[in-house]
Amino acid sequence: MDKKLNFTELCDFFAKVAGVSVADAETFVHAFFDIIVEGLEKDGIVKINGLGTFKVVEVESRASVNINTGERFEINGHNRLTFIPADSLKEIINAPFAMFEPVEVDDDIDDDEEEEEEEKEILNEETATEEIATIEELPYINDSATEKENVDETDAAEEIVVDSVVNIEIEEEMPQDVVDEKNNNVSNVEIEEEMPFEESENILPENIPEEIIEEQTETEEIHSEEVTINESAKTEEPVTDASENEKNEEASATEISDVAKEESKKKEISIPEKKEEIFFYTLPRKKKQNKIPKVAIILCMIIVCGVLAVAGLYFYDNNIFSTKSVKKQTAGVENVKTPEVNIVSTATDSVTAAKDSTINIIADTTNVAKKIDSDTQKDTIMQDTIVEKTLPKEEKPAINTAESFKIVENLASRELSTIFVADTTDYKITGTICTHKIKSEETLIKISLKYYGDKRLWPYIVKHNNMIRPNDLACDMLLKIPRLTPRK
Amino acid sequence: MNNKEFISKLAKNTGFSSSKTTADVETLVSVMIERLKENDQINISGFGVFEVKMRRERVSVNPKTGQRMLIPPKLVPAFRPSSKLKDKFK
Repeated sequence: MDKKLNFTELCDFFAKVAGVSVADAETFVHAFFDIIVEGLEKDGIVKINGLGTFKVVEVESRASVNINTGERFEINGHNRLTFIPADSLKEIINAPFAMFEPVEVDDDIDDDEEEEEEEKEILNEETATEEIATIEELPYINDSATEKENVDETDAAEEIVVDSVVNIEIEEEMPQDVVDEKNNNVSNVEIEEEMPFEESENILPENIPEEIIEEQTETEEIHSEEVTINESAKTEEPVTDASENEKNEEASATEISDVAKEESKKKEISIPEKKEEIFFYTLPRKKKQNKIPKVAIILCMIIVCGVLAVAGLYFYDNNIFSTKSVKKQTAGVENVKTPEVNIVSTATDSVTAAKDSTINIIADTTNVAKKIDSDTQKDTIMQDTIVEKTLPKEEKPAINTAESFKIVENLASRELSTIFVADTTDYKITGTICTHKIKSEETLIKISLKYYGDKRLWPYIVKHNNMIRPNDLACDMLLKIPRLTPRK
Repeated sequence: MNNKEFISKLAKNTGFSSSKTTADVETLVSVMIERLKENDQINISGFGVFEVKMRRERVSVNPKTGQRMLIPPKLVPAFRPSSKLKDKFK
């Protein structure tokens, strides 16, 4: 049992069985194997009944890889000695496992379980073989042993069946688990799907108030704009009415053009602010949202300034050029609504020099005030931009509007204070000094500065030349420069 | 070389009659088989080793039908030629 027999031991067994001497047995066994080798050398094949076939087989050369170095090398073709056992020998040797037959395997049995089952089987078989070995001498018990084997087999088969059933049950349970998992997944997915929605819902309220605030501010500003527009309309209506009544269409044209000029100037002033706004645009989204309010505020301020300028210019021109229009003007100045204009009209009606002078003084002061206004507006606009920079975004609109209103109030008060300040720069047109040919990049202010040393006197030039559109100065245009004499 | 030739050659070499040689060969084979059945190794120096190997059970798949079969374990007689014999036929 499990021994390594050498040649002599085999010879001993052979001698015992064959009933010959050990020496003879040795010679015979030795001759036996020698002849096999001879036969192989000669024919390459030796067939021995009951044992099998010894055969020399050619092996083709094949590529292989050295395991250690990874180098490829070729195993050269060679011959190999093989032994094919005879069927009888195989059957005899495999007798202990002969009762096993290939079994169809269900696809669901796990390999581990199979192995376990088979190990059990092998154990049973080994015990069975032992029993067979012992029972060969005892045939009766041999039958019982085979019966036992059969029982073991059936047990094993039953175990297999049971295991398979268990597996099936497990599988039957599995789908539910899978379904549950799927449900979980689905629910997770749903939760995930819901989550962004909730987030979006959370996000939306955050956004909405801002937008609402913006809209509110916008509406407020729109209201303010409307108010200012209404104001401007109100103020412009008297202007136009008065000018119509006074038939100072030219003067009104100059007024309007002057207003346009001033507004254009202010727009020019507002350009750098817009650049700053562009700088804001490049900043994150929330700052972008302040774009519209800021623009609206600036527009508001410009409109307010324009209204003030119109008012100022109205008085200015009305007073300056009142000398011509006084006689044409009728007594009924019903359309004039503002008290100042009434004063002016009454003053023009009376046509007294003293009053004229005072009214002119008022006009001049308003003119000066207007210019001061424009300067201060520039300053305030700059301040506003700076304030807008420094202030937090949400507080900006209200503060800006409030500031703009404050500025307007300040300007109004300043205007009122400057109206009654005496000014001597009031002149009559008493002829023409010369004619001036306009060069490129010359303005009426520059011309005024050149001939009178005062840039505020350009409206006299406009008046003297009966210019309808003072802004439309062309090169090589001839202008009559009026001689101005003080009214005193 | 078939069994007949082998026995005649052996008889010629040993000097025994062919019938006796046939009987002796059968007894020797039966002894060897008996030893192998006892799970012994028969080691013949200069020739090789006869032994019994156990092939473990395995699951084979029929490539046509995809049917999986559990092949039971098996005991197989095997011959391992000695290195000397191998070199001789190489």
